[in-house]
Amino acid sequence: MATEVIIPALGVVVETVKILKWLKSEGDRVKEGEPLLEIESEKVTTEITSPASGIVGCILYPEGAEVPVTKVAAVIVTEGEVVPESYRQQGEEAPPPSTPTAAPSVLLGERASGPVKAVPAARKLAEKSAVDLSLVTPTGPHGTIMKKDVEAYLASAVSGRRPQRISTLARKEAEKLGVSLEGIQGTGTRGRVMKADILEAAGEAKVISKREGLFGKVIPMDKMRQVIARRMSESAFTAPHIYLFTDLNMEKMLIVRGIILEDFERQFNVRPSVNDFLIKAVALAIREYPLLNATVRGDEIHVHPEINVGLAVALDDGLIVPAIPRADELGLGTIAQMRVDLVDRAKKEKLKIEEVQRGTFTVSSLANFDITFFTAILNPPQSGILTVGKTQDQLYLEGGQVKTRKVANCGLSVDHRIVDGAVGAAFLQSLKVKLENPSYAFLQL
Amino acid sequence: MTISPPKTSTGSTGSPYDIAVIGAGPGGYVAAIRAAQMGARVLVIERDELGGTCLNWGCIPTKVFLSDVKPLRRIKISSVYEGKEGLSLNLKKMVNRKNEVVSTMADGIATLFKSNHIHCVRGGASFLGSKTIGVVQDGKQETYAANSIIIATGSTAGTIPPLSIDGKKVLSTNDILNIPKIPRDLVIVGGGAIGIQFATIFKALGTKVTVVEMLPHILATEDDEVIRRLQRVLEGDGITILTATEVLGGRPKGNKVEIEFQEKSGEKGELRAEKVLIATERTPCTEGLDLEIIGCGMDGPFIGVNAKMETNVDGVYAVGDVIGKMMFAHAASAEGVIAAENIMGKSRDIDYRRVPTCAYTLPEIASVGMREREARENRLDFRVGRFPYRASGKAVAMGEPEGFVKVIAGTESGEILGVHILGENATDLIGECVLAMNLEAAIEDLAEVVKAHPTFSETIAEAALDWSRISIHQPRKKIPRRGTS
Repeated sequence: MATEVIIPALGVVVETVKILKWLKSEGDRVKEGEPLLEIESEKVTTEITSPASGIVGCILYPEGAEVPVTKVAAVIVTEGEVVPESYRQQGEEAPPPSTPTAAPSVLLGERASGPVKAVPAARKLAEKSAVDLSLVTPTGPHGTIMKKDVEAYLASAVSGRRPQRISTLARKEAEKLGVSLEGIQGTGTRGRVMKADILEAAGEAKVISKREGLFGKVIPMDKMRQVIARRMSESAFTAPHIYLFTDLNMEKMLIVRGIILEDFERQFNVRPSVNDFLIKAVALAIREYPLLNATVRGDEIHVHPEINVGLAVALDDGLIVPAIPRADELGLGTIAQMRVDLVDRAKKEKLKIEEVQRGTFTVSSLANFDITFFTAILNPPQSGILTVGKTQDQLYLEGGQVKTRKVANCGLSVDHRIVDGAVGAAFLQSLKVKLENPSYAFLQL
Repeated sequence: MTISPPKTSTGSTGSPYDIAVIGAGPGGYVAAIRAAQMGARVLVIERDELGGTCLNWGCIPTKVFLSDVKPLRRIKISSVYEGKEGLSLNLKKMVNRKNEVVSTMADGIATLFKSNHIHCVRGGASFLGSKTIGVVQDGKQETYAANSIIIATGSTAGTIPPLSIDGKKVLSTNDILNIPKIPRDLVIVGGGAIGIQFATIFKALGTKVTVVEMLPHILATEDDEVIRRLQRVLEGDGITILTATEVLGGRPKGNKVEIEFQEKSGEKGELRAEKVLIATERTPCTEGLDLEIIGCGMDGPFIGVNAKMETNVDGVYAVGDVIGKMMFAHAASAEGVIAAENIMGKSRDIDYRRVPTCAYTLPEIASVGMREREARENRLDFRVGRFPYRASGKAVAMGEPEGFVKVIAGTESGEILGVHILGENATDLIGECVLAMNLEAAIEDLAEVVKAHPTFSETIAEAALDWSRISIHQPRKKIPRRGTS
């Protein structure tokens, strides 16, 4: 019997995912557990495996489609089995089942007589360029018009429109580098797109020119920016924040780090960082104060079973927080290894969804900048976030002698709906003791 | 005696000029007109003639001579004319016609200045500050203020230490344009575009010509294949070419000059000629400008500029031969336009890869972009297409079968890297190749153009087709070859 491939619910904030790539085509054989498609959400990508062995009976959403979670994306059938008609109608842009529709099994390239199927990007481009979609030859599954089809139509002579203003070399270069021509500002005569424009769009020069060209422009938010915007406002306007600050004497921690450095490099092939100590100490402090590992849901406080400490990672165009699972149970070496791997993949946009979704508390460090201290907005639905500024020399008196010590300022933001000031202060106090006495603290495992 | 303080002239409205241009050659006058078109108040300072070297002692005068000698040469080698034995050129009339042409064109520049409201003063200019220029004429100095200054002072005819130009037997390229009598024999020192051009002209006038070049090749900046072929053609015409040969000195002997030279092998020799033409590399005109007052940075003997034609001094630009990048009139004009537009608020860079070269030899040569040797040195993946003039109906019919078109383009991208033409009309034909490169056409674009028949322009399309090994008018080739072919 037919088995549905369902887009999983990837976490509370994920509403839709984008289908990046189908790894199988209709008619392909597939084994249970074999990767079937790649999806993307909030700049994390993940593979969905086939829930059953059989044949890919039908694919309901083309690549590039935004699909709400829990929807059926494909149907796996057994040999000789026919895909039930009902599934065909679920696909994107399909009219309600009550209206008579175009034959669902529209062949590739054949023109649908009913409403035109097109992915949103194709519709957008068509609307912008005033293209009649019914004239565009679709190449997507089930006669769905893809964005590239509209581009091809625009570029073709049959469209009867003026040819796109782009030089031959630029067009070749764009094809070679896979650069989309949409939105590229031509610098040639009368806005003609030249090779340098394509190279710029493809290359690193992009960042610079982007910055220079931004004044007076309207910038559409990309997916990540939209998520950050929505979640940060949600957090700022629903969770009443309180902020607590304390100084951390870093001397002992830096000494311990110095002692273990060489050994860690040999044994774990990583250099332990101050962040690793923070993650570990936070996890241990959370054990004592479970409310810092909780979420408000209606009138209930849900305390998460695992202590998964996230680390905020700045990207070129945003921010992402991968989390180290059960950090309270892990050794410092393992934490360091996981931290290096997660940060690296975050920058390459290669994180898995669960790695981002599992966080229960966040650490955010601006120690690399000349920032003394800062406040942070809670990463919803978490109830605590720790901030760390730069480490600096501080003068102090000892036996009438002026001495210096390394001090970092650390801040805690908590959701006052769950955590009161005194609890937050006690948590921060416990954290301070651990970080200032690392050898003692980590013996308490 | 008391010296009265220099009068400061700031133009009719009392405010400084937007732009002062020093030199009214093809770099300066073009910059001035472009700037005026964009609304600038422009002052041009010229110490000599409007039009500079190009119009007065270079491009234009030599083209007059060339156009006069070309029919004579054609008739001489033609088998269809009769009674050609008595045919000769009147050099005096030729020089007169040259002078008429030059004066007509110079008047044209004056008219253009007037219509663009460009103020032109005569005299030698020198910097008093980065925004002030003193102009000396008839012993009096006037001072002019301008917000931006374009130095376009050009270059003067080259010299060589062992031989001093006397204007009688040892001539500069300026002197030779007003030569009263066709010399029986002529030694040209310098085998660059200028030297070879005069060699062609005087050979056609019946002079025995010898070219002495210090470098291993004549026209050293051109493609090897073009150089080799042109040298063969010139030698076939009876011009003697001595490469890798240095002139050691010269002395008058009777009504001739005796030139002593040394070959690379160390072997010495002597040449005797009625006239010697010094056509070595030209010298930039920076003397008297007092560039050190403004601290202008130099690039050897030339003024140093960036791709925007800016010198290191704020508001001071330089274009043309004085910067020594590509010493062609059209390069100077292109640089002039860029300087003017940059001053007027645009942001433009020059791209010398898309500036053609040309030499008015017989046959002509012209090129744009990379030479094959450069493409190979840069380890580019490229392919070459060729088409010989001998296979062109037009070229053969016109009695100009000597020459070829050579196109170099990236194997994968089809990007046109360079085009090299030797042959009749080469300097005109290169235009469409520059256009193709400017528009970033691929080599296939150049091949797909339908050309009128019969035209020389067909050879370009055929060479581009040959790049894809589908040239119609050439015997089929067996294997498409990569790299050099």
